[in-house]
Amino acid sequence: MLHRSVLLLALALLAFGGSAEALAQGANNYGSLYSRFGVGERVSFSNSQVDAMGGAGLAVRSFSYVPLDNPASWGDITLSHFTFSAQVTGTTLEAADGTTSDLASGGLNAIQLAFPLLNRKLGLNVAYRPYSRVNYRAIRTDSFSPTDGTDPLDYQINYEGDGGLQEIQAGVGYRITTNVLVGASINAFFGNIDYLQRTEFPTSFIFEETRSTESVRVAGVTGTVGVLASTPRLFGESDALSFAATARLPARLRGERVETIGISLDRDTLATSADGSLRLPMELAAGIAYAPSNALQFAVDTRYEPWGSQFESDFVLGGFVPGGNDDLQDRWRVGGGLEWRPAGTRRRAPYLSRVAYRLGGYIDQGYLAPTGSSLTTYAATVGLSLPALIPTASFDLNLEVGQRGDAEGLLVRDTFLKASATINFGERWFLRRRID
Amino acid sequence: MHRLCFLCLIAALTLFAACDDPSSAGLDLIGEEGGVPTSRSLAASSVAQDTLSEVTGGFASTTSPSVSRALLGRAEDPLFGTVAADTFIDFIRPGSLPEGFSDGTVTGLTLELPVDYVYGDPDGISRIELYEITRSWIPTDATPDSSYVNFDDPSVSPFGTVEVSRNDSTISVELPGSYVEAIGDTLTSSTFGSSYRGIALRAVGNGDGYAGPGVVRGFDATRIRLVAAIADTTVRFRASEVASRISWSDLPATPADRIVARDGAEEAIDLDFVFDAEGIAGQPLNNAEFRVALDTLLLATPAGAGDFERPRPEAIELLLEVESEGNPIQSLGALVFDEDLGVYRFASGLLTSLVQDELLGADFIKGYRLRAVNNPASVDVLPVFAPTLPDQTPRFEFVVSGGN
Repeated sequence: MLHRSVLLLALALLAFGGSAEALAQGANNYGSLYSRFGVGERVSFSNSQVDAMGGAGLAVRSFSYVPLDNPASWGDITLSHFTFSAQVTGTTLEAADGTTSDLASGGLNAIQLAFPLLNRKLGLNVAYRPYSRVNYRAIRTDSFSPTDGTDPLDYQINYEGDGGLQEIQAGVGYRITTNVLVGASINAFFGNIDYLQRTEFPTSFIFEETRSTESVRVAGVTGTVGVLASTPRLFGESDALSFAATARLPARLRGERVETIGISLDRDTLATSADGSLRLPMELAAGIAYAPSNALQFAVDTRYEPWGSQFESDFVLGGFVPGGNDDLQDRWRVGGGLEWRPAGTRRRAPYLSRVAYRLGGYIDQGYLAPTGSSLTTYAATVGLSLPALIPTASFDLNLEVGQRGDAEGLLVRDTFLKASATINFGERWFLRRRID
Repeated sequence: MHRLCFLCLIAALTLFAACDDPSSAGLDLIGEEGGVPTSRSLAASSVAQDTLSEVTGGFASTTSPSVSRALLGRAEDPLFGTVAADTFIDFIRPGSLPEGFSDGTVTGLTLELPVDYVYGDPDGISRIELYEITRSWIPTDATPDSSYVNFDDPSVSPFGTVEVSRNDSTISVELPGSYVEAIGDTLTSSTFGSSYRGIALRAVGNGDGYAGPGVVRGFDATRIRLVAAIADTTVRFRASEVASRISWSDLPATPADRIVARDGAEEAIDLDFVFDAEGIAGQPLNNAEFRVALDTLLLATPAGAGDFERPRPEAIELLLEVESEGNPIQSLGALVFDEDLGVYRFASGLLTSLVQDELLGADFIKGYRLRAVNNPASVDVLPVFAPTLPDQTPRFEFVVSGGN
């Protein structure tokens, strides 16, 4: 039974991860047009628990999860954790003139490895996750009449964006006392942002598809510090209130802008522009979590990124021209949610009682302000955490539905549905046996 | 529960994957306008006559390389020179032979030459000498000056002389009785394939009583037959190998602003293009079409009082000269005539890809060449306009789609 359960989980994850990656690499990997702006659509994934609670979880203390957003919480690590998470998103885009696009995209949420260096004292976490995602596509269709006397031809221009910034983080969390933890991490950012124009002639066998790409490649390092404090037994014998705050320093990413051009996938480099850099703004976050019992907890987080004042770039990006106008503003995000696990910590309770049920929502004023208009995302989240027969493993399914922007003027309204799946393994590795 | 979740997951993935339908929605938001196709034209910067080896022989059967035409005759063209063509033909026995064939006696031989090409006076009468080819020969390395009979050897003499005149479709040449008697046994012998080498037909001038400019005729090699009469039946030997020897002489001066390439003279047109021209260099290229206009008025110019036909070439071969020690000249394909536009056109993905490299600054292409296609063999003339006539000189017609 145990083996079958694990096998089923693994199969599901492989299928999900494989499909998401296939989508990510295939021609159908398109999402919001707003991902054209700046360094792309910001991605916020801390872990599947936080994801299902509206992105709130900075102050949540957990035995089974290791949140990526707060290094201080890594001081609580008791087990060695491996986490793999992937998602697919369907987006319906609606413009002011009533035209719509239905798009689908997919990709990884995170891959994480964390383990205790000193049990419940000092924990180490290494993880990969996307920081931003660029995956837009819009098409223009028209007819072209060559001047050489041949017949008119239909053509289609695809304006596409691809890539985004990725993050690899490594850090430690230290528990100073039972209720006070601090942590720090090094965050390495890297990635490509490609702006692609594909011109194709669907009705011609002779005409080739051409591709013009301007690609920005950057990499850089910054750091994050965090603190987490708890006050147990505040209103009762088993409740706890926690506070947390984190600060990530601005990141200077250096790189180059490369232009390529050519036919189909066979592109040649035209020129490499002068090297340059961009600066990601700092990120400040704070959260509060309250657990009335070990079966229920609530969390609220807020996050602030001063893109309007701190973002710099030597490169032309979507909606950003160095020294010129830009379409960026400060980003803030407020999210909140709850988790209910009817059985609490009782491992022998019925299966459905051991499932964690999560609910949340968030408001995210993005750092994008196309045409000067603020762009706000409203979303609701739900999730299930299905325990495996291995007590420290779970398979989490989350759904998020939301809306971004409005179909007014040049703006479009995104209505999206995101499904994500995460597998969490926890195991005692590297610990010395105390009893033989 | 897990299985249910797994199935839900797969269903969700399938749903998402099926809903990809990007449209023009949001075009104004992203504000991009580039990539629109635009026509560009690039005329040759230089056009010059050059030499290029050519092959005038091959197999008339399905064996490759094939040749589908044999040339024979002599024509005096006041515009482009005097051209003469001799033909060498070997034959193969049919797969099925009538009963008693090997014991039969050949009583007559007729050479059937189906006409499919005329350069010169269509009513011209050619005096042709007939020779027996006595040595083994391979047609695939035949060049315009290849000969498989040493006509200059005093000991070599024709076994007959005939006059070939106009015929609606097929010229029949009855071979002399002496020749029939000489090779009759060879034709019926089981060693025919190794002992018989074929016939050479040499044009030595005009027929008696004909004073016109003469003619070079082409014969459909796949339908050339040597018909042997045996008793009361006939056996038709198919042409197996065919080669033509072609010579051009008395070349007049080329008309002004024209560059000429004569088929059979190993002549070609050498072309250069300036690919870093403004509006073209660095552009993404959707299509490159090569176009050549010939001076059809010049081709139609009379050569005297009577008719004189100069066929418009069926196709023009486009070749590429690259930086290579092994095979620097490579064929790209054949331009075919567009009746509507009145020009020869050629386009292919390879050509577009190569030109795209040129537009991006690659320099491995040294130049382009034009010539009449090797097969079918001809004595066509390509009068190409010089760059001094920029609207008519060979050119590329591009469709580029701009950049970001």
